[in-house]
Amino acid sequence: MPNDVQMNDAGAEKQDDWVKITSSDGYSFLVKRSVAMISGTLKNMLSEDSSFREAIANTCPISERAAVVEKVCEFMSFKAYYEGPGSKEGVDVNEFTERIPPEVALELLLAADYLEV
Amino acid sequence: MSRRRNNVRGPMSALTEFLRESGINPDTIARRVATQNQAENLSPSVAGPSNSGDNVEGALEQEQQEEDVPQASNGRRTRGRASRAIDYASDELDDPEEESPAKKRKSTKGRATAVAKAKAKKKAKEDGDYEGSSEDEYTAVSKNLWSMGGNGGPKPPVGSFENCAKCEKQFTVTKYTMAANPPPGYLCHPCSKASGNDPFKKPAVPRKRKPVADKRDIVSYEERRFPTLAAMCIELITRYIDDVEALGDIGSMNMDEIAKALSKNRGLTPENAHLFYDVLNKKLRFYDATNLTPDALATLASLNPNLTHLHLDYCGRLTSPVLSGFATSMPQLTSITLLGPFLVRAEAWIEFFKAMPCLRVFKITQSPRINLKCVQALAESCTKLEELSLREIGLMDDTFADPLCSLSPLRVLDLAFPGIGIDEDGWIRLMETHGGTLETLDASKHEGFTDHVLLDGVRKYARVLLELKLQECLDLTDEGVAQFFTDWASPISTLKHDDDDDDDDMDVDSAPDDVSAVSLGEFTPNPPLHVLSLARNQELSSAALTAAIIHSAQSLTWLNVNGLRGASSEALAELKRATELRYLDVGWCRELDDFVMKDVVTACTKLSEIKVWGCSRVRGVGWGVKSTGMLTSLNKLTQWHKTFTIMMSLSIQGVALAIGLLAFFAIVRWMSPHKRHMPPGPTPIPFLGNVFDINADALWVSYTKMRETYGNIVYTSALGMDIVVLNSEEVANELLEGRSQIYSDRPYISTRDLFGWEWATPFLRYGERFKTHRRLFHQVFRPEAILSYRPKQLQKAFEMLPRLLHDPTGYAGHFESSVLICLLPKPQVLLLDRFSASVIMSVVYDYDIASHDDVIVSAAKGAMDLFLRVATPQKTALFAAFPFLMKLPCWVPGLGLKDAILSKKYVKDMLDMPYDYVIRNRAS
Repeated sequence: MPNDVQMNDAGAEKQDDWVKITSSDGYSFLVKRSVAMISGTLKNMLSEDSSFREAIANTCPISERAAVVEKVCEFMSFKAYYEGPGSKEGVDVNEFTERIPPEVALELLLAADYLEV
Repeated sequence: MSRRRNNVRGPMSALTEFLRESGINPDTIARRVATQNQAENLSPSVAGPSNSGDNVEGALEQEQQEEDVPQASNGRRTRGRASRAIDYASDELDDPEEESPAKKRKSTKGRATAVAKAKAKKKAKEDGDYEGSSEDEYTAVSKNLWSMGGNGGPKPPVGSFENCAKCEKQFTVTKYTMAANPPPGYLCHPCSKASGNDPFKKPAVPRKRKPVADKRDIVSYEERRFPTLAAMCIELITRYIDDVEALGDIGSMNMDEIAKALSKNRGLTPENAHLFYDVLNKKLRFYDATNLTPDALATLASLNPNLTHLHLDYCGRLTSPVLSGFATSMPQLTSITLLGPFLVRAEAWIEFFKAMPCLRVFKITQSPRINLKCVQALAESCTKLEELSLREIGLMDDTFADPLCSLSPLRVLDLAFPGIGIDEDGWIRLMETHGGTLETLDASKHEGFTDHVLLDGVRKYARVLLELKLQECLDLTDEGVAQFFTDWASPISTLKHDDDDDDDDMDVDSAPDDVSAVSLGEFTPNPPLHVLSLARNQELSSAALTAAIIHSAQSLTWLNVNGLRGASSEALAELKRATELRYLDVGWCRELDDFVMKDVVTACTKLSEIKVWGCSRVRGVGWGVKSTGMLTSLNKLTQWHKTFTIMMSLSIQGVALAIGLLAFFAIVRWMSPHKRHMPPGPTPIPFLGNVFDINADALWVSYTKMRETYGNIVYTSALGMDIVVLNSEEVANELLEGRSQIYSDRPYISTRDLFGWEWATPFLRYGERFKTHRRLFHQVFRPEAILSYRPKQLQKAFEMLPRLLHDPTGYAGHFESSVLICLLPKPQVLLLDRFSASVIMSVVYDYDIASHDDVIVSAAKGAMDLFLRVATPQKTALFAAFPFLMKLPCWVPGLGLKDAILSKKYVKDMLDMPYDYVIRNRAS
């Protein structure tokens, strides 16, 4: 799972390339396109038939601080990993709930709501 | 702790009291977990820090460390046990020379009795019986063997030499060295192996308490959805709601979700309710306002002055003055929905209606005090009313029809589950008034809602009806409903003549004729229904179901046909036409099978929830797996009513009942019986005994018959088990009460351990453990002690009474144990009371049963369901006769061994969750 959020130079395939998500305080996160597509809002932003600036630059700004954006990326990777093919075993979803620090929960809720994840 | 310091203490739950007296608090629990593994690795001679002086017993160290109270250990277990057997409360329990300084100090403070009691309890703890509160008793014995010599002295250090107690050879002491049995001394490896104890056997690892979150995945339904991040956040926020200062601008949807999540564990309190308030709020909904006091509810009104929509569920503490306050503080209120406003009086309602002429939506569920005058006031004052719901109104009868008819045409009319109900005539008038605008109609449990009302009321007047709920309208017939749905779409006049012969007694005939004549020209058929409930109409069957589905198939999204027992599988197969279905309840449709379900699930792609309770032929084969992303209740309670109900209770009544019944019909003797001394009885056949003389489904009938022939004491046997039946109260009293010394014991129920019920007091055989239980019971439930629970009992009684008033026929349901009620198929019984269960849970654990999906109740439900379904008396007898069957691997079919494993899990949850709850709450 960690390699979903790591830096990667290649980016050969369209489905397999990387997109950049930036937070309001200047951090940026690289996630696979398939991972970013989990979020409805990001999906629309990156939609190929749109000519949004985000789609062209492959960069999506999220106006939340890095701690929140990081958790969002983590969740998307988590979901992509467990919903993807090959991992049919039961998912303990509580596992992720435990990884959310309570102090960001409210902000995260707002971000999650906005990003439709 | 601070709570204790201020000397104000309310009634405490029994467990809390017990834990407090024993000095167990969250810290010690936490420390115990931390020290447990460590303690095991240490050699027993390395004593724990709290042990000093002559403290020697390795096995006891662990327990004593938990106690956190300096205490001199009682060196001789055997003596402790013996003295306890005499009298637990006596001070002889503590040998004088062993009395600790701590105790002496306390004794001088005049608290001798309390301390002695606490000590007695501790000693009970030291004994294997109560070790680790619920740990397996058998591990205790082996632990003791491991660590201490029979002479009570410490085990010699590892590496030293000892002489074997049996073979007298010298050997090296290792950490695997075991004590000799009988004491004194130690055994060398060959000897201890020969004596049947495997020295290398790992000690049973103390069961770790799993976090509650892990355990909750066992529920009666399965949800296969990946939760959204937002849902997770909401769950998390709910958990930490008391630390939240303000929710901020999270949007009304999220706010609502949090309120919903809070209701799951009754988390809404006067303190955190403020998070949901805002001057600008237009809408507010609380899903469980049980903990909001009248003051808090008054605050609600004053802090949300601009509310237009207010919805409060379980607002039991809403009083008359508060409701008046609502009227003045929230002038813009147009919609109010209340569940359970028991305390509001009729005058207050009338006053409220007068103050609120603009009310558009008025929905009340469960109010015993709404009477004719209230409804009249409503009709007079609230002329703009569009939606009216008066559910479960105890006083509703025919007279309500008049004021209801004088209301302006309604869009929603819900008069479900009344006390008496509106008659046929009233319903026809209601339909005449409101039919043209009515979109939602709920006439559940109105006996006056007959075929005739359907044909001459609903069919004639309804034009835009989308939701129709007719649960338990027992006067509806299969033909009538089928005819209604078949003809609904066609104009009335074409069928008028066919109907005429039925309507011989119709004095209203003239009026409907006029209407139909008028509407003849512009007849628009009612559109197909979206929501339909025909649940628990046992008269209805295939014809009605088929007609209803054909009529509304294209638009039906929600369908409840629970309890249509007679519906054939062909009729149920028609369900596949309803492709828009999202919710389907086909519980107790006996003909339903997997093939039909497979078709339905394949055809109705939008289905998100299916309920198939009590469908014995549905096993989920072929479709259950496919339906991922779906909420499926697959509980098959097919046999619950056949089996014993005595073994199932958590409640005191249940326990008493179980003890009484068990003792009443059986005193079982295991050792080879002296048959010639047995009382008279029917002649047994070899081995099987009297199996064929006893009807297992109705034992009492068989036994009553035997009384006529054999007298009050009858001997029977079945599968090698001897049963002595006491057939009169007098004899039972004489033997079980008067000579209880001889006769007090219970039969061994072979499935007890298998299903994880070995802890349950009613099933315990006479012995140390039983005595401990009795002692504990005596401590907290003796007549003087229970006085302190009275406030709680009263509170629960007050909660129960209004429900009793509403539904006097469900009398038994109000009092039976929660578990029994959970097993009943009727959801409204579930909603009604679990009086006894709520008292018990409240008294023992200080736990209020949550309004919906209570996790503990559902665990108990699972456990009971399995025990009743699988551990039938027949199976019990089978296991008793052939104990080796219990050792078979769990895949062996027909024995329910798999269920036994599952049952153990449920039982564990049932025990642990309330306990965890207490521990958690003590921590906070």
